[in-house]
Amino acid sequence: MPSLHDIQREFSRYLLGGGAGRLAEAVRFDRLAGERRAQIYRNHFRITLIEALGATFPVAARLVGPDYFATAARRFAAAHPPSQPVLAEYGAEFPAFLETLPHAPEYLGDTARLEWALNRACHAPDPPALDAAALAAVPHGALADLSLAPHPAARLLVSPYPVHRIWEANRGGAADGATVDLAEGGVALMIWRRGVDAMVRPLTAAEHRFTAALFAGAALARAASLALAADPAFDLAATLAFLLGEPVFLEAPPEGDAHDLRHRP
Amino acid sequence: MTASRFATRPAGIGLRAAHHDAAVASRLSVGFLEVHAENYLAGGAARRALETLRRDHAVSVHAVGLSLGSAEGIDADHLARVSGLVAAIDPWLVSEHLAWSVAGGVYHNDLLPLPYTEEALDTVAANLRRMQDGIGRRVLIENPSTYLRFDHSPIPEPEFLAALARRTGCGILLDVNNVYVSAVNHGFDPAAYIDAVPAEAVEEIHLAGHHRAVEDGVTILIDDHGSPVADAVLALYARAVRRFPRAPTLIEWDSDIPPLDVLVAEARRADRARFAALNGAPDAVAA
Repeated sequence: MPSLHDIQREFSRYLLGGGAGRLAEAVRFDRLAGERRAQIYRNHFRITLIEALGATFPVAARLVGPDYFATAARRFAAAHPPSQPVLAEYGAEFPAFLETLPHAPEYLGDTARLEWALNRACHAPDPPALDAAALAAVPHGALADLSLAPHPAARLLVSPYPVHRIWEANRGGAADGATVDLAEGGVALMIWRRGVDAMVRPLTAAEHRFTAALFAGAALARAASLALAADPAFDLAATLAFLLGEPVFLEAPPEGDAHDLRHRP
Repeated sequence: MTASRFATRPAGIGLRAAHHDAAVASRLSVGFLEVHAENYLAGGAARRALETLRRDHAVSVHAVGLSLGSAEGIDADHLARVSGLVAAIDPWLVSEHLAWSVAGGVYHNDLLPLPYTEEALDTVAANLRRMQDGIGRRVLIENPSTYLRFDHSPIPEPEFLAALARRTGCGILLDVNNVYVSAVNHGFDPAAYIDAVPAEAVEEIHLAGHHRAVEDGVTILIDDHGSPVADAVLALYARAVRRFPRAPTLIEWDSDIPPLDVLVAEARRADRARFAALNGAPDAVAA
């Protein structure tokens, strides 16, 4: 008789699209063939993951239609099944997968990336965020060398398509028949969480340069000089006021960083 | 007439995201709220709603993803996250399932059936001990609804649950709908199942709806939690209530989720059925 480990491996193989052979052999025949009974589980696996991806990527689903989306999601679930049980955290690779599909609109992947960023913003943990008062407490001489860590709910997205307009025109409650001009071109977006709401805002090229540099760990002075190089009219004070008015950075750097600083010779 | 020796909380309801706003805004009157641990592990709206509701309600944390039946053991990271939630919420009860979901590192998003063997008993007991040690709580373990059974599965399910309770000190969460669904799907007597479960270990009862499908001419009940509790399940519930009179009851509804007041009305219906079973019907005295 097969071990528990063998049974679970065979069951898994079948759920992911393999043959039922060895699993069906271990199942008791009781009015219905073992494979027919196992199919109930495979249907559940497929349907619930299609639904989970549909809940995280509703705009992508609307852009391609339910049948196309269901087929794409089913294939994705077989190729990239969840590795952990929190379904709100499932689907990180789905935008890239959508880009490999035939006949998909070229902006589908980036629109799905925006939905993923919004989903992560909704479900990210809630550590305290940096605000202007906390920054004011930093000694003046240390400001230029200060580096900040992004809040887990905040991220940036750059696309050659106006994905925020595509998303806006296709999300729940959007009026039917809204049109988006692809010639409008690309966009850089910041996505974050305000209270319990996921937010999205387009950034200018210089704002994006500045924020991206900070997110990557650059010191404040270095990030500002990169932004000014991109646009001499970059308004550092206004950009900082916006970034500190929202929970975009962590109040305290991650523990590992602080530890490193303390022990650096 | 009132049976104080059978005193327990009124029936509770499973809290789902669709009802967060309505539950926070209303003065919800139910015995307790039960949440799936996996939906509240991060920050954001769900966690805030739960923290708000926790102020006014007893909460039970029902984990669905620890995969206690996995031969490869349970995921330490996931256990740590569930432990964090339990520590933060300080729930009244914590529960998991007699099932597995993970093999080869893949989470299959379902409560999959186990063969009831000595090997599986050792596996589940070891994983359950790890869960109880990890969260620092006693756990209630729920009987599954199943669509298949294994050829080699010599231990009857109620006996398997009883052995787990003896070995690990866990309690039992008896899902009456699951008993009924499995009984129809496999052709056993659900009343005999209820009678075989060790009464002293049952500390919670679940009720939910199912739907009927026909596969190759054979009736199969699907445990979709998408409708009111079936009459046959309510009848079996009366038997369960008489056998486990102190166990509180929970109503689950997970697909085609109705408005909150429909769920609350289902909880009231369970309370009435419970009261009738303990006080009204003549066979209650005999039981």
